[in-house]
Amino acid sequence: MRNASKLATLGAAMTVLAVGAAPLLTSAADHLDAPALGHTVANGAIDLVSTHGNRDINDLYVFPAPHDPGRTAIALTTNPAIDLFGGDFGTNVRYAINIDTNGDNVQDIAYVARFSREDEDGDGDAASNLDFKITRYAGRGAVSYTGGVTVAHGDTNARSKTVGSNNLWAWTGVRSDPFFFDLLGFIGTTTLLKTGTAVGTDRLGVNPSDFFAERNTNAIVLSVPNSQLPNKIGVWATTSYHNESGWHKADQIGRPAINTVFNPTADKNDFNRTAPSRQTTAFGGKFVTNVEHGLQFFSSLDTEGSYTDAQAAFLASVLIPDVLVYDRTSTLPAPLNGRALADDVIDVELRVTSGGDPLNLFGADGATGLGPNRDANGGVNGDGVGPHTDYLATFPYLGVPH
Amino acid sequence: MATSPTLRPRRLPIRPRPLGILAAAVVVVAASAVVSHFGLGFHFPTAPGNAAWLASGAPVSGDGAASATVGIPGAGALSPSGSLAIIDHNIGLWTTTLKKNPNDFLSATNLAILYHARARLTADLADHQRALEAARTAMKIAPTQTTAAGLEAAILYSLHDFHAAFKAADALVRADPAELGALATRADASIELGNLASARSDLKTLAAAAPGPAVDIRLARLAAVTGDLQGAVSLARKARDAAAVEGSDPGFYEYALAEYERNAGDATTAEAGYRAALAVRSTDLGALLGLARIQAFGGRIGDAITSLETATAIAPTPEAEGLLGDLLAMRAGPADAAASATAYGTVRLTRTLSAVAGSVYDRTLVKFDLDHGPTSSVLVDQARGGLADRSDAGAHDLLAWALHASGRDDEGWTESQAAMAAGAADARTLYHAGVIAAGRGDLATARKLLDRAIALGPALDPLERSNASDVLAAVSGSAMP
Repeated sequence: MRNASKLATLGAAMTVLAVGAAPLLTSAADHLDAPALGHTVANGAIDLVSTHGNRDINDLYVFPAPHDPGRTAIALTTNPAIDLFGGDFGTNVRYAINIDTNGDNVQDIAYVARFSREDEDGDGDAASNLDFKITRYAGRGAVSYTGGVTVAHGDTNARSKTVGSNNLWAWTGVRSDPFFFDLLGFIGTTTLLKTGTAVGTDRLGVNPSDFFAERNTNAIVLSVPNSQLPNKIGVWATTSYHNESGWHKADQIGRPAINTVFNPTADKNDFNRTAPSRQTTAFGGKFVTNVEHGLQFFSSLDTEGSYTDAQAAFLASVLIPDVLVYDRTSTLPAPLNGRALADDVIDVELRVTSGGDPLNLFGADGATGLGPNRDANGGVNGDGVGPHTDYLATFPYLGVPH
Repeated sequence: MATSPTLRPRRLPIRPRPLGILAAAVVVVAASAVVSHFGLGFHFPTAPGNAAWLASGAPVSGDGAASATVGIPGAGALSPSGSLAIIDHNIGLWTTTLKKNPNDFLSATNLAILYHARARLTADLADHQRALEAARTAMKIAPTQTTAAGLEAAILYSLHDFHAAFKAADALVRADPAELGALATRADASIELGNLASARSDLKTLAAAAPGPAVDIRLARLAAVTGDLQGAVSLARKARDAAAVEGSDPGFYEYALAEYERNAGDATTAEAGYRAALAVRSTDLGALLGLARIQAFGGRIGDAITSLETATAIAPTPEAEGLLGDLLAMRAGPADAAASATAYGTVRLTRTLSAVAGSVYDRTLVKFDLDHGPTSSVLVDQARGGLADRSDAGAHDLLAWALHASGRDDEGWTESQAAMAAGAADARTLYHAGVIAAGRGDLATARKLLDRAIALGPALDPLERSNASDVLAAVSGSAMP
């Protein structure tokens, strides 16, 4: 997911992407510098995973397909640093879109994308343009990734979409990153809050700027006929990578920024490796505790004071497990009900995290009845930046690359 | 040395662009405080293929069919990963972001990363200067963030300001031992400054904390400078293989392995490596130069000249220009004498065009003058000054060669011994020491050293190899004690 260290990979702020140089010939030129010894340092912890951007997830979107009634669009964006180091999809990485169809937070369907230079489609261009293959797993096979059937394959960055025989639409490649966020303001505010030391001069609410306005991302975009899905689904994405010792879990996301905001650095990888069905109880329930503590910390910015224990516990029960629930019959806003490209999920999350109650959940007249009452505004109600203007009405919906 | 079977006049070199690059360095140095110079760019290589593609256990039904009925706007519009074009494109993107928000230290940092990496492809010193400016811009906006400071250290290293690089990296590591990138730069700088024990210690820490190709390739460098040429090859091969799995900068690792293989005398394997690097990036300067050396070693002078012309058209590095001049002189075609003089002239211009270039290429330029004359005591002074600044084996060897050129072989031998005592066992050091030993009348030592140097084949450039062979023949023909 687009967590702090990965944002930092892209932003290089908290990332020490050290380009240590080591000429082979001392008398000669700089070309010979050794490549990056990449890692992140955050709160003293070393995270080597961030050097592998091709297995890092940026965001997950699930929304009704515009102009394509009867279809659900799912977009998974990956690799936070393609505008820095370039980068394709990983050929040793499994990109999975997991779908729970019965509310138990265990996937019943999984679409898994793999990439290769083996020229699967025989068009001879795999050396310069990766081939992709999407396999659909169902039932118990959706958990173990066994017994699947290839439902689409083609070239990345193809000039046309792939249409599978089950009428799945698929496209993979580089697109304009749909995400919008005042990253500089966020870093400025949170670092000051957490450490008491300012970083730069930006703050949330001060000269907002969308750091992502000119960013690109790798994207896997699917369009699934609604007839193949129930009205209500839970979706999360995972990546795993293969090495000589087998497959390893790498990254995971449901709703935006849950891991980013609430888990401390030391817990982020544990969270990424914990299936949603276990997130409430795993590690002694620390992920729930982290959310509760985070909510109470950030809601202290609200003039109404922090969430009570009961209020924080209720919100934590909504946010954990981290699954992006999408109900075609619901009118709830994102990210409580899917996430479209233009949905300002950051504003919603900032507002709620910092004590706002826009859905009137709390107080005597609230949906939960948990007091005291809170108004809709939190301590921070938004980052001041809005959606991009380059989204497409038609598949694959994400804009033309910058 | 055999010559190419098809001799043809060298194309008249078009010099404005290469000289323009050198001149640009001067301009940028002069304008070092200007931060608004974010106009060019660069990019990294792609992940290699992976045979595990079909290892998922899934049957392939192949029922996905491409439809040409719906176009995807903008699909495939970007240049491929690893190309200079995409790096330039990305520099443009970050420049736009920075212009919108001048307080954006992240974009400034990223520009530093991009320009620094661009310089690795172009050998354009102006790119290093731009990288340095961008890093310092980021440091000014956000002094508490260490990323830009780490970059500053690495860039200073690339500019061969090893003392400053060491100082900057050392400060970062002392403040936070987890700053592994700074630790890597400190190790790199230590090697170049001749502090091998310090470098070894830092690399040991790195290998434990962050094992991988970026550390192994540094260990290969340490092995090479301490005389373990085969160990260097093994480490570089390990790094290359791991990088291939990770998909990180395969061009660089192919090139690095080839370089160590060439220095260990393995022409065939090295040539394959250089070609692999060029398959990733056809403009890879180091690989072009290495390939030219292999071609020249194999008597393919025309091919070598072509490779060097390609390299010098990208950037007129003195090493490539010097070798080009040598090969043109050897080929002796109708226009080769003039072209050779042009190449030599470009080398000599390097120092006068740019103080930065003179600093980065200081040893190359002194060695060029020693090999191509005229010699003077000034060269001894320059070599001695270099040793005072950096007391590594290379500095001792260069001073030894300068002293030899001045007829001071006894003093030169002392320096050669110092170089070899530091562990140097590369072909050039052995060749220089062998010639100096011969000059002192120590024929047995001379023959032994020259035999070892020549046995390393393509590690010596043609003129060096020719001279080494001549001296060895003379020594071998003399009465041995």
